[in-house]
Amino acid sequence: MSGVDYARYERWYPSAWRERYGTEFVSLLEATYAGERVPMKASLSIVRAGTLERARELGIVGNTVSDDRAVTGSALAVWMAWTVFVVVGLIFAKYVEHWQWVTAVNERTLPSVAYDVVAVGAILGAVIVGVAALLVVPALIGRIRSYGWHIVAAPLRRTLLVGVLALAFSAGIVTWAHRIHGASSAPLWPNRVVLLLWLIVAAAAIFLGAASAGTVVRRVELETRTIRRLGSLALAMNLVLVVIFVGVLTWWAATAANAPWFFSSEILGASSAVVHTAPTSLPSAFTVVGSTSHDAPIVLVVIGTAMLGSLVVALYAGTRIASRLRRVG
Amino acid sequence: MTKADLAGLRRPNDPPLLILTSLAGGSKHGYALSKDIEAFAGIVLSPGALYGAITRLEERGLIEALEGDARRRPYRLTREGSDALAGALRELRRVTDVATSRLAVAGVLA
Repeated sequence: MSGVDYARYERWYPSAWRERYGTEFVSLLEATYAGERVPMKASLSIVRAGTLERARELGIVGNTVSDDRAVTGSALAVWMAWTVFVVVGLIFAKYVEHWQWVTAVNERTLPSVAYDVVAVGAILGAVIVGVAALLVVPALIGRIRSYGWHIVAAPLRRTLLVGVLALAFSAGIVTWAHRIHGASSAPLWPNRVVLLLWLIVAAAAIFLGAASAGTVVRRVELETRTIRRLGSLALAMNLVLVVIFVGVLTWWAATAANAPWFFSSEILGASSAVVHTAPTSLPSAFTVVGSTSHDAPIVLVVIGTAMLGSLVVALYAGTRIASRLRRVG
Repeated sequence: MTKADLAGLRRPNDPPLLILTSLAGGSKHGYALSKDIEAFAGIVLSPGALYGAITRLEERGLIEALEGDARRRPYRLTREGSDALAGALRELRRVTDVATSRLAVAGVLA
């Protein structure tokens, strides 16, 4: 009797695929591995194939789905990219909140404009998301009225649970961060471990939330007009994401050029570590505790990488929407 | 034969091409396909790659499932699948013919 549960591997695939191929797929695993564990390489291949199959089913990749499904699925990918931007954008906002304190007045113009552009982009993005939600909600309510809660209950419950967990964890981290705020002697590595843990939880919440949202969207029949509007909004969101990304990069480059001491690990986001005396004669106007300046701190690298990755996904999805939008319906 | 028709059938180690080649010898289920491909091409297809390719080939109508035990459902080539395989082989042969003749001129091949 084998202790290996091969059936768990088929869970990586969407339900329609499991219904069609699941039994023979599990049978193949049983015959191939005969009670042994599935090797790591093969496991990763299954994860990749299953995820790809889910993306196909949502319409994010592949040419075998209808134009309606492709536009809806690609729009979902853009909203997912926006969610990543929101999460890392919040870290960015907290991280850079005191940058003016360490930047000379005559060198604040460019980073200030860049920072404002990011803020305006964030507001525009929130408005676009709000409009998109208003477009989908009536269809969702109509569907629920016709077929009952059960058609969306499970994915909504899942999204809510993961979202609440992520928010609770985030609240815990913010509280913890404020408690250690004044302790400039606190070692950096626990902060990084907690940051990494938080990023993992946030990423899991985003991807599980997106998967659940995909399930809901698939079950809600949207009108052609609504799909077209969602596609157009997703294209507008692409533009917003590009603007935000350029704004963040510009702020980073300008600050690295004009106030590189801001990136000193001891003063990042911790104003109490900076003895601020007068804002007119920087950098001699303040004292940086044990300064070791670095233009590319890990947090900004993580923020930049997450934004770039999401932007690539959003631009790919945007191209897909642009090429199919006219054929919808 | 268009580029789309040859998707996944351009390189000798593309899983779809290996599966079509295997099914050209008769219908087979997933595990038998995997073993046959390993025997004639020396390539071990992971379960994910094998069933990813089976899914796409069936979607494109190049293979079809036969009635049978759901745990070991056999597949066979369709007419379109045979045509696609023949087209892919012609493309591959064009390259191998050029390589063979050039190596023969260079005296590497008899």
